[in-house]
Amino acid sequence: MFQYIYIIQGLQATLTLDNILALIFGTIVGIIVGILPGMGPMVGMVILLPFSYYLAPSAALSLLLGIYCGGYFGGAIPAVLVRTPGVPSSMMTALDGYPLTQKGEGQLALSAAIVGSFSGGIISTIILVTLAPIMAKVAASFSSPDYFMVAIFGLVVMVMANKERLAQAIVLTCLGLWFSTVGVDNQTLALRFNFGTVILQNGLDIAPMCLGFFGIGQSLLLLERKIIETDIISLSLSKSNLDFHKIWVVFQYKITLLKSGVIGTAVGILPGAGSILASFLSYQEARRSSRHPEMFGKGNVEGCIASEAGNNAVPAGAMLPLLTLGIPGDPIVAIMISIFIINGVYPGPLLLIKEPALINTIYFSLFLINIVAFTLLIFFLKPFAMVVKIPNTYLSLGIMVLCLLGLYSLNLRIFDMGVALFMGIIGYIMFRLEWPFVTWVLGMVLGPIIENRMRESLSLSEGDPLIFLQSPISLSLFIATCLVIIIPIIMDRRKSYG
Amino acid sequence: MSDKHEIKHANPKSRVHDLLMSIIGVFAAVLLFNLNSAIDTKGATYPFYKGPTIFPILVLSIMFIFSLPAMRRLLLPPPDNSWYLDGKGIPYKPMRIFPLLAVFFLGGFAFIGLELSVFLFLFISLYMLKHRSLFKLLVIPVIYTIIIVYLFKYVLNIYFPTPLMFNF
Repeated sequence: MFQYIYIIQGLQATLTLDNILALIFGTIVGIIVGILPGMGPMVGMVILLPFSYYLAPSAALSLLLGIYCGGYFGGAIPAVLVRTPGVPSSMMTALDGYPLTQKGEGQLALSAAIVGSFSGGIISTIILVTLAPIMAKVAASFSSPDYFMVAIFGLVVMVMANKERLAQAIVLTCLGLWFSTVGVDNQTLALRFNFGTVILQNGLDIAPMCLGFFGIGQSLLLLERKIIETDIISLSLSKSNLDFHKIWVVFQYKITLLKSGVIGTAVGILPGAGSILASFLSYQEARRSSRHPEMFGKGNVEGCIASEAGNNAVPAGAMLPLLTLGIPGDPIVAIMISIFIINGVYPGPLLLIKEPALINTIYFSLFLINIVAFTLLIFFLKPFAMVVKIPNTYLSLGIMVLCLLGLYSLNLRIFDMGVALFMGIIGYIMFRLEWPFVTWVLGMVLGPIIENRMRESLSLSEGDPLIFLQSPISLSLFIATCLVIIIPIIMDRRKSYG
Repeated sequence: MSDKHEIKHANPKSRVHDLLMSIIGVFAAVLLFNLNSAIDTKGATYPFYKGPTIFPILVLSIMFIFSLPAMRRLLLPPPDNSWYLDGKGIPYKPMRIFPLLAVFFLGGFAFIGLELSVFLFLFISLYMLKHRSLFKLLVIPVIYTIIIVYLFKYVLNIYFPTPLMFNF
């Protein structure tokens, strides 16, 4: 009975007009930023972040989740139609989607991508609903060293995911960790790195950083480039909606849909792994288990399904460590932490006990977002696909203005706009250099968790660092962290020795 | 569509990477050497592991250590290293637009107000980006400004500083 009340409350909160409007608007924005190559859900989220602060927490989360999931739905469309992935994780979709389009099977390819995304989203949400209470129970027994090791594990996975730029990833992560120390130290109240200024005493907020990096930096980059590097965009669609027969055909690939959804969710749960890995692993598994692996890369429907189901399963998977441990495994999810905190809600093991209605609202919203995105793309695919024709100049100038004013509206401080502009230049340089600056953002978000838990643990052990290896959980996490570092090194060595 | 467009990736061996890594490394070293002045440790004394300096020392040390190879490469460049980055040229457009952003939103914001800042930024930016039609130069910035002003001033009810000039 106790549980049913919260489920009904969650459903009621989901079906309020504010929440439904936020959810639909977020999904539409998500699909649009997903379709526009070089933008992606991160840009959409940072643009709408300041506005989300004016909404109730459930509506704000629905808005941001809509952008997050919608972005992956949208990313597949240019990948299939013009072989330019809207989001990086859709590059695997382009491998089979574009050849299908060239063969005149664009409808089938798009149906595969959209049904794949839908199934991935629904499967991962079911897994989230099932696993979250179990994870929260386990997390409730976590001590400070365990939390410290989880956060370190997340950082290491993220750094190792960028191993081709390892030194830069490490340095940028540390830069993010250092940024998190600016301001008053919350344990000793000592002022750190404020350089005699009052304005830095409160520390550096994550919002100007993200808006600068992803909003301004990405817009400056967009000024220089065309959205799609081709002049002819053949949409290969005679109608604005998809053929229901093709959709039905795609739904017959039940095993591929299920396996890819599960793989994507597992990768999403893993801190720092990201949607590219999810899409890649799902694609590889579909190819491995296929009766015609030689057809992959030449226009195989299963390739599109697997890749999209894998990457769209990531958002719900990534919510699991956030909701149960309070640790964001992904910079996009990290942005959502601010929505929780601004409303006095602290993600962690107690969240499921303290805010059951909000948690149920998130679950229902995730289901609804996938249904809304699926329906919108079935009926309005062509108008969405035409978004790629918006001139990049208008888009980038508009985004810059929106980012700066949105940021000003948060604290009414011109200083924040200055920080965003400075970070915008840094972001632009990082984009040009192809440095993995998402590690900087994750470092900044995980910094306070790592520092506080480290100092708490060392205080408990009176300075003995072996406390991090004493509990079975922290020891297992330590071993897992070592493996994450060692295995890629061994594999690279094996490759180089042939 | 043309399939032949090639994506220009940044050259991983460019000395630009080493230069930036070295700058970050030197920055970390300077902070490490000036830690006593950068962190206020005058109050109560704590054991090192409880104090406010342990974490910054760890983080800055890692930053410095991992930038050392780049510093070495910068000073003693290997024969195949060059300054060539990605062949995408000098970013003239961002270099023109960025100062406008700073002028209109950091400086001009308080002087000429929200409406003129947004309109003039868009108008001048579009002109600098070689848009010459009257529709593009005037109508689009005006429509965008109206939407922005309506959204921020009337929907979200945000306070903007009263401009020193052109107070409508």
